[in-house]
Amino acid sequence: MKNRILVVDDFQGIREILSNTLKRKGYEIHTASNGKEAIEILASEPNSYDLVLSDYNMPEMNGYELLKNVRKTPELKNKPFILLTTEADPEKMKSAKNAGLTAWVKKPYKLDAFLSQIAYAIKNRS
Amino acid sequence: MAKYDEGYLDDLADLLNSLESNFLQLENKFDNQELLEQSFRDLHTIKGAAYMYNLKQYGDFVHNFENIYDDIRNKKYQLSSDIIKLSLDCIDFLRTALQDSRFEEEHTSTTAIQLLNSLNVITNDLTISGNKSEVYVGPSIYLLVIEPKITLKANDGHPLHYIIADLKEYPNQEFLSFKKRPKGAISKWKLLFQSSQKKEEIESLFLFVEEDLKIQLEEFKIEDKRKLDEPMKRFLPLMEEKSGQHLVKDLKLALCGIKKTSTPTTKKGEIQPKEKSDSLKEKIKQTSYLKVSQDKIDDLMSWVSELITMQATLKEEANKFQSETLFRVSENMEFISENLRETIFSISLVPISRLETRFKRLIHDLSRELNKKVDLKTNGAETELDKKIIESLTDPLLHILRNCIDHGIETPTERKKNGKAEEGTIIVDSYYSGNHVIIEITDDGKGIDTQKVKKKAIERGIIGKDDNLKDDELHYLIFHPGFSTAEKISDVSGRGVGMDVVRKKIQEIRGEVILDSEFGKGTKITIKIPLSLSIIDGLLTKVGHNYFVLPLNTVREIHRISKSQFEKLPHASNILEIEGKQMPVISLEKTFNMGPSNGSQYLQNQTADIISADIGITKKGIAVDSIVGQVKAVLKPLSEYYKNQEFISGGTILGNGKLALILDIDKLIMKN
Repeated sequence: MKNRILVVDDFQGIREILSNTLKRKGYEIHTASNGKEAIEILASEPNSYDLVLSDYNMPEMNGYELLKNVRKTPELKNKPFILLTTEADPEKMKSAKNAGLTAWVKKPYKLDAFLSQIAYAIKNRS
Repeated sequence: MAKYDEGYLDDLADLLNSLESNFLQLENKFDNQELLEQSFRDLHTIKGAAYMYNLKQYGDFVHNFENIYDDIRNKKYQLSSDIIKLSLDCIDFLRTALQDSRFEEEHTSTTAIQLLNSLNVITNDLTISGNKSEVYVGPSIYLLVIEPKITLKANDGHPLHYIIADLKEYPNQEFLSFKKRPKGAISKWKLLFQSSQKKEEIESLFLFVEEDLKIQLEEFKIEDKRKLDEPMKRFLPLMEEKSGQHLVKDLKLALCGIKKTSTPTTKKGEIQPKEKSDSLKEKIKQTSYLKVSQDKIDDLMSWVSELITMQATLKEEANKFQSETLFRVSENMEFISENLRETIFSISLVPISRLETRFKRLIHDLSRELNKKVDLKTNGAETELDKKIIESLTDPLLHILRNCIDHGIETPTERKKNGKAEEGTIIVDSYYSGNHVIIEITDDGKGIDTQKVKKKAIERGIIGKDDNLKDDELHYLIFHPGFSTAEKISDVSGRGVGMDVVRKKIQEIRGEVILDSEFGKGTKITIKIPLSLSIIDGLLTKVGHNYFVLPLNTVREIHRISKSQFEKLPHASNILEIEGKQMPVISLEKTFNMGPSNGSQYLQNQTADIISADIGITKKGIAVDSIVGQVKAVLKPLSEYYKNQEFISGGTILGNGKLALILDIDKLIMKN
C-alpha cells in the first residue's frame, strides 16, 4: 500500500509542485490549503495518513500552530510532521521541536535530501 | 538558461501584480497593519515559489526584500514614501528579472545588489537605535565533530548525510572532512568549514537528528591547528590564503545569492530541470484554466476566417440555384460559423483592468515627481478587448495619462488660485459601442491653450501665419509630428515624440483618437478601437479589375468626379480641386502601375471616386474607379512574395471568391 501524505500550503502553485513530485515517487497525496482544512481532514480519518507536510507561514493558522493543534489529538500524537519553509530561525525550530516536530526542511531543498527526510520520518515513526 | 513554461512565469507575475497594488495602497496609509501583513505574506509567497521553482538567486533577493517588510510589520521602523518608492523599483526589477530568473546576466546581478544596498541604507537609517541591527562580520571557520549514537554508514539514507551535503554546497565555502570508519560504520566525523551562517543557525540544522548523534560545533581559529587531525592540516594554507578581503567580498555576493560567474551547475541531488518542466506540464494539465499559446489561437482564428469566407461563397451559390435546401444549409452554416468566430474571439479577450495597476503606478510616480496631486478614477475597467489590442494600447494610454499629469493637471497652488480642488482628477471610462470599445480619458486640468498651440504651430511652420483655424482644428495640431507645447522639454513628456505617436499607434490598430478640450476646464481624449484586429470594417473599391479595401476608420468623405478631370493628372499624386477646395489626390491606378489595358471597364467608366482619408492632420484623397460598398473583411496576411509591398497590409477573400487587397492608408498617405 502506498504511504499517504497530507500536503498543507496556502499557495496552489507549491501544492501542485509538491504533489507532483511526491506522486512520482510513489506517495499518495492529499492536499489542504490552510490549517483549518488540514485539521478537518485529519480529524475525519486520523489513521489514514502517514505524514503531514506543511508550510510554516500561512494566514490565520501557521504551520507551528497547526502542529500544536494536531498533537492534541491522541491518535495524531506521534504522526510524522514535517515543516517545509523558507525560514531557519533557530528559536522557531527549537519550539517546533519541543512541540513534537519530526523534521524541518528548508526551502530551497535538494530533492533527494527532501525525499530522504520524508522516507526517514515515515520509516522511524513510533 | 533552461526554457520554462510560461505558466510558471505567470504565477510569479500575478503575485508581483498583487504586491504592487498593495504597495500603491500603502502609499496613503503607512500604518495599515492589514496591508503590511498582506505585503509581507505576498513577498513570502513569492520567495517560497521562487525557491520551489528552483530559482535560488531570485528567492534570495526576495528574502532580503521580505525582511524589510517583516521589520516594518513588527514596528521596528515606520514605512515611508521612500521605502515604497524603492519597493516599487524592486517590483519592477523582479518583473524584468523573470526573464533572467537565475541572475545570469551581469546587469541583473548588479541591479540586484544596488537595490539591496539602497534598501539597506534606507532601513539602517531608520532602525531605532537599541534594536539590534545585524552587522555582517564575514564568514567564520567552524570545526564540527559528529559522534553517532546509532550505527551510521555512508550513504545509508540517514538525513545527516543530506544536512552535511547541504552545508557543503553553501557557495564559496572551503569544506574539509575526515571520517574514521572502522568496519564501515562511522565512529567520529570531523569537519572543518567556512560559513557565514551563525553558530546557532548551523547547530539548528542538526536539531532534528540530535537523538541519533552527538554534535559539537565550535568556531575555529587558525591558531588552534593542533585540534586538527594530520590529514586536515594540509589544507590550512589554502584556507589562510582564501580568508582575505577577496573571499569576504565573494561571500557577500553569495549572501545575496548572486554568483558572479554564469555557470549554473546541476549537481546530483538537485531537482533536474527536466523533472521540473514535467511537473509543470502536469500542473498545467490539472488546473481548470488552460493556457494556450497565442499561435494556436491565431491558427484557429485563421481557419475560422477561412470557413467564413467559404460560407460567403456558399451563400452566393445558394442564391444562384434558388434551392430551398441549399439555402437552409447555407443559413445554418452562417449561424454556426459566426458563433464559432465569436467564441474563438472571446478566448483572446482580456479586461482593460489589466492595465489599471500600471495606470495607478504611473500616476503615483509622476505626481510625486511633479509635486502634483492627482486622483485616478476608472469606470468600466471590466470592458474586454483583444489581448493584442490591449498590448498595443498600453503605451499610447500611458502616454496620454503622462500628458494629462504633466501638461493638464496644474500644481495644487495654481489649482487653488483658479478655484479648483487641490487634487486633480483623471477619469478613465471604458465602454462598448457597437463593434467598438470606447476609452475616454478626462482630466479637469487646464485644457489646451489654443493661442499657445497656434503660436507654436506658426513658429514651427506647421501652419501659415494667416491660416484661420477654428479651435477644434487647433486642438488637433498637437497630433502633428514634432509638436510639443511644453515650454521646456521636461523629463516626463515632451520629448517631441508626443501625441503624433499616440495617434499613429492607435491608427495602426485601426482606432481613432478624438480630442475635446476647453481651456481652463480640462481635456477629454476619446479613443475608439475595433473589438477585433482580424476583421476590418472597410470600404470596398474597384480599380480596373482589382479590388481594394480601405479601412473605414480612416475614411472621411467621398466625392464623385468626372474621369476627364482626373485623367489630366500627370503623376501618381497631384492636387485636384474638389468642391472648391484644393486636395492632394493619390491615384491607386498610378501608384500600383495599372495601365488602362489592365481593365476593360476602365474606358467605359466616366466617373472616378475620390475618397478623402486622413492620417493625423494630413488629409489626402485616394482615387479609385468606383466604390462597391461596405464590407466586413477578414484580414489575411499576404505570402512571402508580397512582403516588400509597403502600401498593402493584407488581403481578404470576397464572397465571390475574388481577392481584395487591404490598403495601408497610413503609409500610402505618408509616402506620396
